[in-house]
Amino acid sequence: METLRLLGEGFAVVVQPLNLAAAVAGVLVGQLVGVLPGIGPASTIAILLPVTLSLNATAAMIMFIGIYYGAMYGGTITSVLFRIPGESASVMTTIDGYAMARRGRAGPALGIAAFGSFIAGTLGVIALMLLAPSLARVALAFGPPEYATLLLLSLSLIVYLTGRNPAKGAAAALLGLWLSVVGVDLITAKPRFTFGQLNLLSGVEFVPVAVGLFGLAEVLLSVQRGAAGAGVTADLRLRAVLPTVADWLASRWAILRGTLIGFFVGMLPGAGATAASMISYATEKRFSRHPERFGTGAIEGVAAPESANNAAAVGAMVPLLTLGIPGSATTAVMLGGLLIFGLRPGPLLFQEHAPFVWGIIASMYVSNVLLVLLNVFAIPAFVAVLRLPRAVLLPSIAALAIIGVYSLENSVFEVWMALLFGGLGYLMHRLEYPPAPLVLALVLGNTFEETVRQSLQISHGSLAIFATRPLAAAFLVLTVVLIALPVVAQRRQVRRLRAVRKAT
Amino acid sequence: MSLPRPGRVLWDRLAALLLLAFAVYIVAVARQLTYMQGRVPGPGFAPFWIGVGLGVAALAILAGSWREARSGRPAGVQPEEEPLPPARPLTLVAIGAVTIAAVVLIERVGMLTALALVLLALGRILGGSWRAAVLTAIGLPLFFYLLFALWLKVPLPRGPWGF
Repeated sequence: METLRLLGEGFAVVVQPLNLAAAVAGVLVGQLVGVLPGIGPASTIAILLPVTLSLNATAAMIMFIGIYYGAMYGGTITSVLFRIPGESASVMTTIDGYAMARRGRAGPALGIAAFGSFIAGTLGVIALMLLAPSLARVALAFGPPEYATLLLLSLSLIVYLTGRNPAKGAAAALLGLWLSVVGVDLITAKPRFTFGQLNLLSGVEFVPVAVGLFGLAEVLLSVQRGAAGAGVTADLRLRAVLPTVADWLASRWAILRGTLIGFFVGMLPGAGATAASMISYATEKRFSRHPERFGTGAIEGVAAPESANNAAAVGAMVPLLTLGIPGSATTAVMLGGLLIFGLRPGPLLFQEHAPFVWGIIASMYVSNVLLVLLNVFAIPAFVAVLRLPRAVLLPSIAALAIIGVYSLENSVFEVWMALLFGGLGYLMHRLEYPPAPLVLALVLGNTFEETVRQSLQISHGSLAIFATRPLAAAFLVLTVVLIALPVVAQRRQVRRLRAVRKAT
Repeated sequence: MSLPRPGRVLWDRLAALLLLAFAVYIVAVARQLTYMQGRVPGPGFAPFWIGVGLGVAALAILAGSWREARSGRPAGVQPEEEPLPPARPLTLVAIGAVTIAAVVLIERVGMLTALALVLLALGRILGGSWRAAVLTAIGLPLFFYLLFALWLKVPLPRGPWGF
């Protein structure tokens, strides 16, 4: 009952004209970046952060969530029609979605993706609404040792789950942590790693790093990837997009399973929407009585991953809002934005900023409705966007990134930082170092250092504090297991390889 | 799965060695900061362990690269993304040079003019028509002027001609 009352208050926040406009703008922009390959929600939110700083925190966050959501919906269009994932979370849809399009069933593929996303998104928000407040209450009891070990666990998860080589992920995360200690130490006021630059005394600003690593680096990578091909032409009028009864019957369980998998995988730091869509596709194939149909245009193969990626986007909000721990690049950028607004997500957010939290939750319902309408009625309009020449689009993104970063502090120094990290981001991608751990570590680094120091202050310097408090000890054990896993797996792989060699 | 090209392995090792050197630098600087203040960690505590961790990660990357070269298969899990087409170094260098030049120019010719030059040059480098490039170079800065200067009241650097 209490939840419903709070949700009602949330809706009262959303219907305020500025917030409603932010939701509409967010889903439109999100849908656009979803359609455009190469440019994802993380870079978009990073580039738009400076512009949104003139709004209030609620409107900005509503817009960010609209972008995140919209990208999940929009990514489908390019996957189905061009076999190019518009967004990494739509990779799995390229398999059966494109196969359906080649058999003339692009309409139903896009339709079931839109409705599946709507159902998954809405069920996900309901789960978030029921789960988050209780989780926040549990987290209220967390002291510095619990937070420090939880942050360590989250960072290890991110390292483990992003990219193929955990050592490279770890290097990226440690670089991020190093960036977070640059500047004046908050406790002793001693400058660290400032290279004599006055601009670095206040630390490395988050926005230029994010804009560089995601925005500018993606522009460079897009140049290299080249343009999308011609794609499949398809009938995308309303009648063609609506799935038939047979389509619904074939995909109902796929949508529900996708939602469940997506929501829970989305909550794990580092796993995120892309992993969720992959797991749910694999699950559907395993559950199917005709697994051989997958890959040839099975509608379940579209419904499952598309539902999962939307549910995961909602699931990712759970740790962000309740613990202040982002699980993905996109939520890390959101957290960076919230911190600039002076809001620290975490258990206290639900108590101290209830209208903000519930306004955001209510906005998720609204965004879902807006997006299902857009994706049933307006697909042709977004397909037309793909004809926009890259020679106009990519320079425009670069220009917006430059002026946006400048406007943050009215300083060219930040623009140089963005360029520096743009170059670094490009190199990282080429050398297969995942950028997400770096950004997450940069956002979480200060809190991590602070909580470790506070913990040792409480224990008078004894490390035992991390092992004697039950929750902290549990987080620590999980971390150790996570770090040990890849080492053990590698050992086993080497042993198997040797055995194979001996046998041949 | 493709075998790692010799160039890739070389770059991988170079990057790892660079990281290792950087880790040594971090530890060296951290040791000049206070590690413990009494029984509480000082400002040097976190950087020291970050440097140590980075060094270990760099060594692990190096070790992995040797293992990879010996076994003939890349370390870790299978790739999920299609590999990028080969770099067009000239285009990328040109884009980098234009962008750096524009940032140098921001405080000399003004933000909007600098951005117009970026849009014009990048549009042409990426193979756009003169018409499209000129239209973007005029239209987008105008839009930026409305958005940033008029609406968001950002004091954009101006050139000698007043904008």
